[in-house]
Amino acid sequence: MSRPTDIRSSELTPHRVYLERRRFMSQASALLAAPALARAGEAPRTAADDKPSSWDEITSYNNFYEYSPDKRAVATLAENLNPHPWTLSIEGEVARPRVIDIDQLLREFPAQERIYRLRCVEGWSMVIPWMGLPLGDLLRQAQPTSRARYVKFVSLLDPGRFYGQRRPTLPWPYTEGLTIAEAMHPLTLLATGLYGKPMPNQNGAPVRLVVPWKYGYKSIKSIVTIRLEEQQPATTWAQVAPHDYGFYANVNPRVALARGTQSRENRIGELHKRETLLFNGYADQVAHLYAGLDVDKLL
Amino acid sequence: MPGSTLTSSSEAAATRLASCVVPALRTANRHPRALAALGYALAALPALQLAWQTARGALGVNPLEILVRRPGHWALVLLTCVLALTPLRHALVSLSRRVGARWGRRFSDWNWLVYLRRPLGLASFAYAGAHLALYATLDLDLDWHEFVLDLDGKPFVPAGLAAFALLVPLAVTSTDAWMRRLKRHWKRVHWLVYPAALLAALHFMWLSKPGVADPYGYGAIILALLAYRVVVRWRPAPGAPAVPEGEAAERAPG
Repeated sequence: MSRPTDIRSSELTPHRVYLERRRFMSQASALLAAPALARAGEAPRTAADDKPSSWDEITSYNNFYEYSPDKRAVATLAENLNPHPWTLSIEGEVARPRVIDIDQLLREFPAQERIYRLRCVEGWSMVIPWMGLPLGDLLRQAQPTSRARYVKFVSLLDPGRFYGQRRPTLPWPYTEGLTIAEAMHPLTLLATGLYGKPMPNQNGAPVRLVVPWKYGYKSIKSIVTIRLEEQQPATTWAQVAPHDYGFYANVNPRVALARGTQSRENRIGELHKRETLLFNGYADQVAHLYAGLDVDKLL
Repeated sequence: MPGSTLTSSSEAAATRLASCVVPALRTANRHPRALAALGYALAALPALQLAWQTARGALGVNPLEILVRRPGHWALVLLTCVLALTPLRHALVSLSRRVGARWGRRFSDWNWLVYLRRPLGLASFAYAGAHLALYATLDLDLDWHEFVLDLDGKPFVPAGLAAFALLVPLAVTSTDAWMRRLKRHWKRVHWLVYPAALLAALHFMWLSKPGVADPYGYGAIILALLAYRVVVRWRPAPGAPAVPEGEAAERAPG
């Protein structure tokens, strides 16, 4: 399977063809792998045997507190979002601030497919074929000033459609942040769909962030504002429980966070846990962002 | 007189209801073994459902999570039921006296509730054991190092383990033979159910993420059931023995 960075927009495939190809590949690889498996017994699982989670898995098990803390209830509660029209504001420390309509955004930046692992701090993970644009492309167009050191993201505040916002479970609206270097990194995606379809409401329609080497709560959903700032923004979960949820939140099997050890993960659909990888397996691509820093201390 | 019509018709309804329910409850009081069997059968239903769903692959998106969590949930539910039996018995006696019912004024009229305690308690222990076993195999892969990391990481793991550890002596000494052997000490040993329930509730609260209300509901119910014991000990209910009679009258079935 291609590594996420190897995947180009030219590889974009319709959902059905995609699934058929997946089936062929898994059958073929099962045949190919059989002798090796027989030799190695139970080989340790690696990124190589990642296969995309199913559409049903991805769209029925969603952490989205704007609807409910219950992951299985979100899909139903999200049915009435109606994310059109939708505008996204790029503002703050930029030479060319703009408010862009979501349809215009899709016309200006044709969607690319990126297959990323998603690791939740709750201890589960999926593999998701996202559609979207590199966030850096949009930010470069807005021309960040020299004072732009951080990027703050804000979700929609609308208790009329986000029923969960009627309760003070979190300080609304949901806010997240990245350093400018993290935001400009080619892996960082502004996702507008998955499996070649527009983003389902429960996955953060119409536009969300995907930062695959960080825990899922960094990948803020249903974004309305992207603001470049000089100071590190206060982020939602870090405000609620600073010791459990940090600003950096890089996936790190060596550091316990939230409700315990993060050394393993439950890949959705599997009955045995697998080892969690440093930076969720993207260390080759992103470790340089933290050169000279102790990644075990960088919460 | 609409008022008196209403009263007389509701009285008639109450009489009809009592004429069905009272003989059934009397029968239940006379058949502790059958009642215990019914308790075991009822308590086994969630396990059967889980086994059925597992066999059919119908556990949904995250089977590992369901398999580990659901037995734990039922252990807590059944433990809460066990703690509710005595207050419920007291409440039913008070209610019968207040409405002037002919049957139900005596504590012994509600003995059938006591007969359910051992089956429900043992079932709770069995679910807790299944919960621990599934956690150890599916979650930990029987890896000692992972277990130490978990113990070290967050207090909900030691709290849950302690709750289970406290239930072990209760399950072992749940038989009639042990009740006879331990005599009055039996009650002292089984006092451990209170800290066990408290630890189980804390385990659930501590493992849950912010914004989830259920664990606090269970915590509040268990706290209220424990507070009831304190209040009754301090100020016995009228007509009730100084020690909650449910605990004293261990007329266990079979």
